[in-house]
Amino acid sequence: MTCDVVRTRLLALPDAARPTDDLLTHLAACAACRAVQAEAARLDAVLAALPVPSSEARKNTFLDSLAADGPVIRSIPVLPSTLAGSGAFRPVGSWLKRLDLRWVGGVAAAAALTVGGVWYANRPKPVQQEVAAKPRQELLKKYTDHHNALAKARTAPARLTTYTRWSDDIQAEACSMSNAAGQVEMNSLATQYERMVADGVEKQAKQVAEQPMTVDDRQKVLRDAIAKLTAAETEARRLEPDARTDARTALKRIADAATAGRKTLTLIAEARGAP
Amino acid sequence: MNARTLTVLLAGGLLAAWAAAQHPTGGLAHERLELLKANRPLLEDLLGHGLSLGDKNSALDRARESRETTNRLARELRSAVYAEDADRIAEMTDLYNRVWKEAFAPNLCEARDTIPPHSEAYKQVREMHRRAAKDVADLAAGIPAGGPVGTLARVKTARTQLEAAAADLGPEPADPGPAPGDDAK
Repeated sequence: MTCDVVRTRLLALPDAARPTDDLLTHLAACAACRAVQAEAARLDAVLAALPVPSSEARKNTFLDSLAADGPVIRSIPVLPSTLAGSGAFRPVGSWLKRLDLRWVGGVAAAAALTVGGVWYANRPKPVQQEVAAKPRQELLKKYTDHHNALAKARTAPARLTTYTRWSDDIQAEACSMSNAAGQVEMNSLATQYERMVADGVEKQAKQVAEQPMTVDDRQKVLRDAIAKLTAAETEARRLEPDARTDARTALKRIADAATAGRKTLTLIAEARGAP
Repeated sequence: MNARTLTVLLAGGLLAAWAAAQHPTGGLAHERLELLKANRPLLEDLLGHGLSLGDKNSALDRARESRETTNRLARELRSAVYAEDADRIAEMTDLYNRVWKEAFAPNLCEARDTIPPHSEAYKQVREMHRRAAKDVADLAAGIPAGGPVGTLARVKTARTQLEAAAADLGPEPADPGPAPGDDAK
């Protein structure tokens, strides 16, 4: 048995002053280890003699203050078990008894704060996944396409065609949404339709009329616009009676705008000379 | 199953069917309605620009009006960037690019190629070219390149598209130098 092993075992003894027989054999022959044993025994004696302040009274006062507000569980009942009864946890139990609960609470709180802080600093950030894109409004794309067509159009007939399609898209949206859209949306669509017919379709139709062309050619240019306005008027009037109150007014405005546009274009188409 | 249970189930089914039929907005209609609500101001503005285009009889005027439209879409795009809405960023970039490529750039190029270099209009073309190129570069730079939105493929594509947009304008209109006759002054 080496000196290191002997000294380690001496320090592990509950009482260094009373070594086991095998250690005694080594100690008898080793002065250095005897000195270590003497020092360990002296330390044990000194530690045992240290005064321990009694916390029992303070603890009882504290528990009583807690219990003053209502019923408190003062002790947790322990269910008998073979493991507990075997005494396997006795050393742990005695160690726990010696712990100062205030220190334990403090350490636990510090640990909880540390863990929480670390988690917060490294918490998973919300990341937008590469999921399927949300639906886009087809109407918005159509508006842009019409806008671009107008940026390319150089003649009144080309513009008339684009404005006619644009007004058709607005009317279709208004009619299809008349059962769902609110007053604000329906009024907006009605206003857009009125503007598109008056400032777009009719205006370009008048410019068509000023261009030198035969009556047949002019009628050919205007025919499609008149047909679309007629269809819009018919559809809006068909939906109007059964629509909700909010939508009814808007549909009537659309139908009226279509009627006015159709009449204007028909007059231009049928005029023998320039209107 | 006795007759009473069967009657109750049948009545419940009929009631549910009736209630569903009364509901004005199905899934698709509801989605369309939300889009209509969200885009209403933009739709109205696009319509206004579209109507204005009908009165423009020169390439420079059409370019100017189209630039107003791109500016409006750029505003919408910046709002989408601010809201970190990747789908909206992609959608607005797409619309912006369409107007830029199909309406603004062709008309500006036409104006550059047809307007006499020493005219006042040519100066306006040069200024518009310079400012538009800078604006689209700024717009591209405003789209985040990193972070939760910037790393998404559709946002990266949007940024790349805008970075490349200035090339659609072609070479910067040349400085015409002093007008003939200026030397004599």
